[in-house]
Amino acid sequence: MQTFKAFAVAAILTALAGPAMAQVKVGVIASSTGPISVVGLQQKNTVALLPKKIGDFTVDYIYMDDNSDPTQATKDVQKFLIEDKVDAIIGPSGSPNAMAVLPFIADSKTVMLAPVGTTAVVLPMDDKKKWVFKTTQNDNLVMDALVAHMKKNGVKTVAYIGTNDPLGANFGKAFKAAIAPAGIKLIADETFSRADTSVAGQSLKIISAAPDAVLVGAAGATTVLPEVTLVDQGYKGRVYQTHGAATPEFLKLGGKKVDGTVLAASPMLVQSQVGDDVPSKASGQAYIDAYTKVYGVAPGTFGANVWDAGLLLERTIPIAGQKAKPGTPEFRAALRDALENVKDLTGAQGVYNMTPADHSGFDARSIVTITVKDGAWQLLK
Amino acid sequence: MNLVVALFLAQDGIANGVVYALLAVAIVLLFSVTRITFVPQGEFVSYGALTFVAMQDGQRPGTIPLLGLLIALHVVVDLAAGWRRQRAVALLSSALRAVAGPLIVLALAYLGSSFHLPLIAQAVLAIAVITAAGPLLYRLVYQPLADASVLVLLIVSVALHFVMTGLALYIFGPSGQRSAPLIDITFPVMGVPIAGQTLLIIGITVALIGALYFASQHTLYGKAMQAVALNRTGARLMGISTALAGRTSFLLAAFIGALAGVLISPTTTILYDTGFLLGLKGFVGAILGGLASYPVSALGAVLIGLLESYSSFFASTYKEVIVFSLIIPILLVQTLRQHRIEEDDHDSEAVPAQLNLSPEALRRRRRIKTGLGVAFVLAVAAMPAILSDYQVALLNYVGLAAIVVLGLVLLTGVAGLTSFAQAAYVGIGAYITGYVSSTYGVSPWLTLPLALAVACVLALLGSLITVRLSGHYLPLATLSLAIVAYYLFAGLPQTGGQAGMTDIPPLTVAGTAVHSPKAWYVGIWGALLLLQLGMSNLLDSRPGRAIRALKSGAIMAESLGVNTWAMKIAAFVIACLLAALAGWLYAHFQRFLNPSPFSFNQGIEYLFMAVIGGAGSIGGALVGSGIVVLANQWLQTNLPLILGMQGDFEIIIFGIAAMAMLQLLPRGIWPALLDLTGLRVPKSWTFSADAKLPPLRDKPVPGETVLAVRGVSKNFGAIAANRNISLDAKAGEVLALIGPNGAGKSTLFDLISGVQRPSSGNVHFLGRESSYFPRDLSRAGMGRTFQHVRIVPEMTVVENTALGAHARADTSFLAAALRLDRPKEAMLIAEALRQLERVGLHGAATTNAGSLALGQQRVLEIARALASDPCLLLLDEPAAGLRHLEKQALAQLLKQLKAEGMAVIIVEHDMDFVMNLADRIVVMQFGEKLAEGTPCEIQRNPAVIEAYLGGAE
Repeated sequence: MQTFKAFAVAAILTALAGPAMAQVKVGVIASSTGPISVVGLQQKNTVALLPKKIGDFTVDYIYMDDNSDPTQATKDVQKFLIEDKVDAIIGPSGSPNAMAVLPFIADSKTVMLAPVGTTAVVLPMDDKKKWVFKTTQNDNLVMDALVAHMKKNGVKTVAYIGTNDPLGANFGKAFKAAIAPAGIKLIADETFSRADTSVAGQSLKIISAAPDAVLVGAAGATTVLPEVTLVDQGYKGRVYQTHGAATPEFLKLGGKKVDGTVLAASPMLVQSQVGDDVPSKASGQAYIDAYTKVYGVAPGTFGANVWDAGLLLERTIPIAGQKAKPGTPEFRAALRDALENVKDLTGAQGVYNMTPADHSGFDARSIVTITVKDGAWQLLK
Repeated sequence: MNLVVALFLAQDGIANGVVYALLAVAIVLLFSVTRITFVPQGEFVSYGALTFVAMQDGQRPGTIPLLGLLIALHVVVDLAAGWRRQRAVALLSSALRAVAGPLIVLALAYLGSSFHLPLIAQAVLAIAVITAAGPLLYRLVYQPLADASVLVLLIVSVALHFVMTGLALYIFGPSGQRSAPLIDITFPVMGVPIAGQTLLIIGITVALIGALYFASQHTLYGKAMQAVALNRTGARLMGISTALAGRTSFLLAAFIGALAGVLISPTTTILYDTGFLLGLKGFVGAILGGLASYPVSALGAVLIGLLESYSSFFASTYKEVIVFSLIIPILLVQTLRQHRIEEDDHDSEAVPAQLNLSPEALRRRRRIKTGLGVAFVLAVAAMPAILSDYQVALLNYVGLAAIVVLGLVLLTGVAGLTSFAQAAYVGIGAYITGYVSSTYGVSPWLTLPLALAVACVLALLGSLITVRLSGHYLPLATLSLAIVAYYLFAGLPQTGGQAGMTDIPPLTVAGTAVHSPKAWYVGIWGALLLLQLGMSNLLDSRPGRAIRALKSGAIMAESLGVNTWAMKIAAFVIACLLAALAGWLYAHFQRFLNPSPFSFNQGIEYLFMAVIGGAGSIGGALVGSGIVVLANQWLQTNLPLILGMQGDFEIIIFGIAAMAMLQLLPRGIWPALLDLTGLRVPKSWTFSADAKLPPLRDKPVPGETVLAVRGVSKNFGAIAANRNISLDAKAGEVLALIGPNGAGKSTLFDLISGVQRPSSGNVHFLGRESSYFPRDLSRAGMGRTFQHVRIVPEMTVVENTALGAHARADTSFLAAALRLDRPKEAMLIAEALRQLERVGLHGAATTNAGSLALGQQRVLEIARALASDPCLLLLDEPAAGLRHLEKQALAQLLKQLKAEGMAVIIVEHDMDFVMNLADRIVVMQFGEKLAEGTPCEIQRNPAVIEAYLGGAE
């Protein structure tokens, strides 16, 4: 019996071995299920749009879902690195997930293109983090834009309400770091659960603290409930949202009650309103078109971060390919060097300029402030 | 907080609470009729709500094709069942009749979703679609499992929950929805706006509870369902179909869930997985109502809503911590109201048939088994050489899970205590070492004892609260512990919260950091194999037998001198220590911690692994965790390639596979494999003939009064079961207790043996007043048998007998696990064999007690009682079911015991047997002593003749 089991285990493990060799292998991790699936699903859908042929190389994308769970992300990364021997990794979707996989990335000396907001994956730059390149607007860029808007509008006190999951915790952390230098005081700090059907208690607490403004830190449809509850209970101040709310559901579910919300997000969200002076306009449109062609609906902004990772690979794989063969440590090192030297690459949401010290790429041009007016996004000039 | 805020919170709490109440009512209904702990009740809510919203958006909701699929499956399953019974034609028509209702709903919904109907019509259709699916689910998932244990039904529910959540993500997508309002009116009450919506939900909840209560008390159908709930076999004998009752209750539950979904969809955002937490809170309400009372459950659910509302105002981060911490004291109060020794409902699981093998064949199979065991260990040792680092890393996760599940095997499989909290104890082990070693730079080797010590203290605390709780309260208490722990992991500043804890130092051995999965493999699997060995040693020892006896009833174990409370705590603590050890290993292997691997979902998953593998078996722990971990990973890797669609497909397929497997093998994979391969062989016993016997106690001299009952009465409410009874039992004498059924003999027996406490009067045993605790009395020298045989059916005859000698030796758990207990063990086994020989059962020593004939089981109980070296033996109808020769042998034995100076009290209906054996007879009638005297006096006593012949019976 036990022998049979041993064979069975061996058989299962053999079956786990990956598919046939391709020229360049890229592992993609996104959270297509679980709490941040609203972010991850668009990223997963975008994988199908990534370039399958770059220069003389065919690119094989291997996809895994991490269930929005950092621990699962580390398991996925280990599989990519040890089993599939990938040349690069795109993902994971969540900031904590990316932080969790850092040691494995550094140990294996493999490039990771992380579509996450937190700057902690690339700052302060050290030996571990030099393998990571960020393809999403820095959380602090988003928060800085929001805080700048708050300051301009005379906001002195503010409340934060975020989900009790990695995403909400991360937004909260970045927000608190951004308001301190601006002299804005946080006077209520509440959490709620994504599955909560009521946030009346938290909302009442915020209203009794009477802040000038409230920031909601959540993603997708979850962003709506706190704001609508605040409005229903008679809150008169302004409600801010992060780019987590930059989804069609926010407008649909929020209806009239979210009119006047201010959020900071990528120019892609208001593609038609941005002027041609925004460098990423054309590139953003290319992504929107490609996505719409396959899925029949326009994408939100989250998938664009994976699309941009594809653009970065498109530029750098041919360069690395001149120095070494894919599948070798030399190729991975060359790819890293090439990425570090990317200059003026226009992505769907901004322009990438990498340096050895700065792997976060985007500058402030990748963020615009947007408001909701009559049920539609409206660019704030 | 001012009054307005308080009122605001109250209205919010009630508004949420009534939704929980609706779900609680459905859960109580399902549990009372089908014994199913229906975890996915909340899923009906999200399905109902999202179907409703999809219709509003002018789409055809995915639940409509899903209903079609369920109907098709239903017909196929019915036909397949009919094919086997060669009645295909009749079954085809009955299968079609069974799905006629759902088919009509399907057609209407299909048509209805093609037009833009008014809101209320859409609501009705959405509810109808989900309601129609309820009975189909019962037929497909639960009907084949009608006789499975409550635990298996719970695990199947968990699997169904996985499937339904995964399907919901596929059907409805990850984004949330909100419906247009049904009633858009608010009434201001004292400055607080009360939504018409809320009043509507309250009205419907109250009406539903009233209707259910009325139906269960006053309608034929309701009474029939109630009958099924109380006694399934009895109901079946009365011609009430349990399947029909099951389908009806699922129809109602699905209706209630979908209705709740439609009602709340305008007030909140509904996500594909919103339902689970709603259902969980409904479940908590249901438990507070004892899973029996509709109104109390509903009130409990409203209480949860209120607790939640106020705690989200005061401390939103710790909301769940507060709510679920408060549940435990409420549960405690509930159980304290119950009587002293709780007799749980026991599922009588079928004991697997034992092979009748020749000694030669037995030896051969044992050799094969040993060979396979050696091969397994060699295979484990060879894995690092064959497999890649990644594959070995996967095996490491299997090993870590198997360590946790090994503890669950002891706790849930063997001791019968269902715990959802194991993942929390893994987390305690992991976070303690993670925090201390990364913050203070302490070597992980030093944090191991610390982690274990903290886990041990917390396990003791946890068990002191939970183990007292019995029945359904225990799983809920552990679930509450699990939820509290998870939110503490996520909320405490020391843990790094949701973002996680990084930079945990690696384990160092001889100055070198251990990184490679293969090195870890040696440690993890080495520990696992040793722990398995230790656990198998433990189960085959004095304390192990006591733990194995827990499932067969506390009264039996206590009557054998077993401290069941201490044994339960020990099982809990051992399981938690194993979990904490796994956590410690995990923390340094993974070097990153976040709360999700320690969530209650993971706790459920560990339980899942145990049941899939075979909850009562050590091999099952490894098989279960291996299958779950590897299958999950395999599906996750390969399904996206095959399907390339959005959704949680691996969880859907995994859940369906798990349900199918449990329908086929409700006892788990490992036991089924043992049966299939014929390798379920009894342990080989080697006994040395000159083994010492345990010491004997001092016995009273013949003629001395051993037991004195003085004027005892026992009332159960208004009924006086015993009235003013006095009697004596003397050493070297057989006292018989006779009387018609219902005369109060069993009650008197219970009073003497300490199971009950007399309402007045007292019982003296060996000159001291009885403590009325069976364990104390047993340890003092009172042995007993039971009217309805109580043995541990899956233990061998000799083990059952050795259980009787439990109090005559002391063996610690550690000594047992390390096999340092052998001299004492040999003594106990020698004593057991001696008693078996005395009663003539030694030939059957190594057969399973459950496979003995009923008469032999009675004799086994006597041997077991004798093994405790008693000076008073209480025998409850020992001759029932015995054949003539066996009765003679029994009489012979009792005479011999009497000659040795034993006092014997015997309750018996066989008059010949009694008259030939007894020295004195006490006759009881209507709870009173009618007469007392020698057999000759009793036979001539006119009152006795009147009672027996005069037609009292």
